[in-house]
Amino acid sequence: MTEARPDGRSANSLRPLSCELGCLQAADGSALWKAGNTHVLAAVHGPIAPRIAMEEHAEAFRIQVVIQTSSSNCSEWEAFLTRILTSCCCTQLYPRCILSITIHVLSHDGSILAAALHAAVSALMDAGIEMRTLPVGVTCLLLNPDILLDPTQVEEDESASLMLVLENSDADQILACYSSSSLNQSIHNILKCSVVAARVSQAISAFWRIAVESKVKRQCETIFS
Amino acid sequence: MLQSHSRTDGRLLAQFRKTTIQQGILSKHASGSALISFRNDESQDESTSILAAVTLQVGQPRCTAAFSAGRGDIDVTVSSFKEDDSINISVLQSYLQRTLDVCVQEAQEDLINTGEQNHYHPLLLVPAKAAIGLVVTVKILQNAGNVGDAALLACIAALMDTRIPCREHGISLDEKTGRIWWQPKGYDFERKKEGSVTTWCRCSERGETQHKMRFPLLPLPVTIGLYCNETSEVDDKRRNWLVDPSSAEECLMSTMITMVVDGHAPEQILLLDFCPSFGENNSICSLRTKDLALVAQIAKARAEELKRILVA
Repeated sequence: MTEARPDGRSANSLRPLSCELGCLQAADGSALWKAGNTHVLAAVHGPIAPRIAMEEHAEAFRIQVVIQTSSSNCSEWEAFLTRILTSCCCTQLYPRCILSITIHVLSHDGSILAAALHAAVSALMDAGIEMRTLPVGVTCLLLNPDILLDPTQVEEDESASLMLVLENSDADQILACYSSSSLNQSIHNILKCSVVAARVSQAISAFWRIAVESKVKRQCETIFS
Repeated sequence: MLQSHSRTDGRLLAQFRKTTIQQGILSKHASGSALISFRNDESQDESTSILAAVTLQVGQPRCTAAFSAGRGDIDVTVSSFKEDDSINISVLQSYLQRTLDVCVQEAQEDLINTGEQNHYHPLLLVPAKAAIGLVVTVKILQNAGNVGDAALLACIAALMDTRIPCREHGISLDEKTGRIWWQPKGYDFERKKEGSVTTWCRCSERGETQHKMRFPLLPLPVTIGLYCNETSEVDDKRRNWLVDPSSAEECLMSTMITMVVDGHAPEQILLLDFCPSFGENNSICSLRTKDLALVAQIAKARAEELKRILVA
């Protein structure tokens, strides 16, 4: 039987989520994503013309992701998120442009990469960038035989975690994967994570809909007040 | 190319390039070193060649929950012989650091312990005060694709070649000057008994002052590229797997998957990284669960082959 987690959650439950769209007036799109005590702010600038002509791509826009955090894996995370967001956005709509996404980690309490991905996607939605699919990231902590979802920093320090990015909340459509440290697990246990993550990712997709609807409702109230 | 199931360099889709490993190539200047090359044909000049060297430096130990007295650390630096835009040096460095840190954490000394276990990390010199740090320098000599795998293999081979000083020859720390002293070679080491702990060292019986480390975790990587052919109607025929992609093939892949398995137990996966690539084929190609199972089988076979080469 699974022991109770320090914050009282069950193995398959996420921390309370919060998403505020359009929190930065100076950016073309912004979002403040909170998952428990992990707070991440993302700002999108663009599509704009790049300053250096060599950065232009003739047929699509380029995405640049910068993550402001003290983690030593910063460069890997930036490359990882850049590739995921480039594959999910309709880049051919804005050729020869650049889209800059800056991510600030305001509070670090585990599952940072997933929170950064969700904040970036929320900011892209706020900026009105068309996307082919919404990637959902779920962090899984593998403690034989249990799988804990959305681990805190204390839980991540004890064991290695695996982040799965799913497309359309489908367990059989895994877009990307990143492991923080040595997993030392069989392929069977890793595949179990995708099934568990798929169930939870539907909740995150539904939460996004609620966040966008509340933003539109707030804007309508402001316009017609 | 894909319809004929062969590549531009003549390999089959599931065929790896020939791997050669030379250890101790910089034995005069480094504690451990290795040169790795992935070459398709002896007559061809193009190959992926990586040189890794390990040097030792003494510093503060890293105290963790598993090693309360402290343990040695590892620091990886990567550079390229010539500028190459296709390699992201900082990402490669971070990947190697992440993988090798676990390998060093589990390292053990090549000696016999008797009596009650008072297990210190092999890189620890003076508990909570001094430890050996491993500085791994990786040089990319030539890039013909799959640099990540070659770099990790070079680092592993260099670590296996590294010799560290025996601790049982009497290590003392002068706290005023911060210097550490070893007893000189040939010193007649007496077996010490402190409390109920007795330790004796095989290397002292042979008169040696250095020994190699053993690695219970042996990370061995495999990188596979997935090319999605949108024009094919059958879902399985739409996907084409290319192992050990060359630099020209890497630009075309939809997804690149890197799986690191334990060489001593190849069914155990240590690391799994994959994400969409910046290929010209800009379609989304997600992986299915049976794709990951296939990659695990390929990784297991490749790990067994690499272990034979490393141990030989």
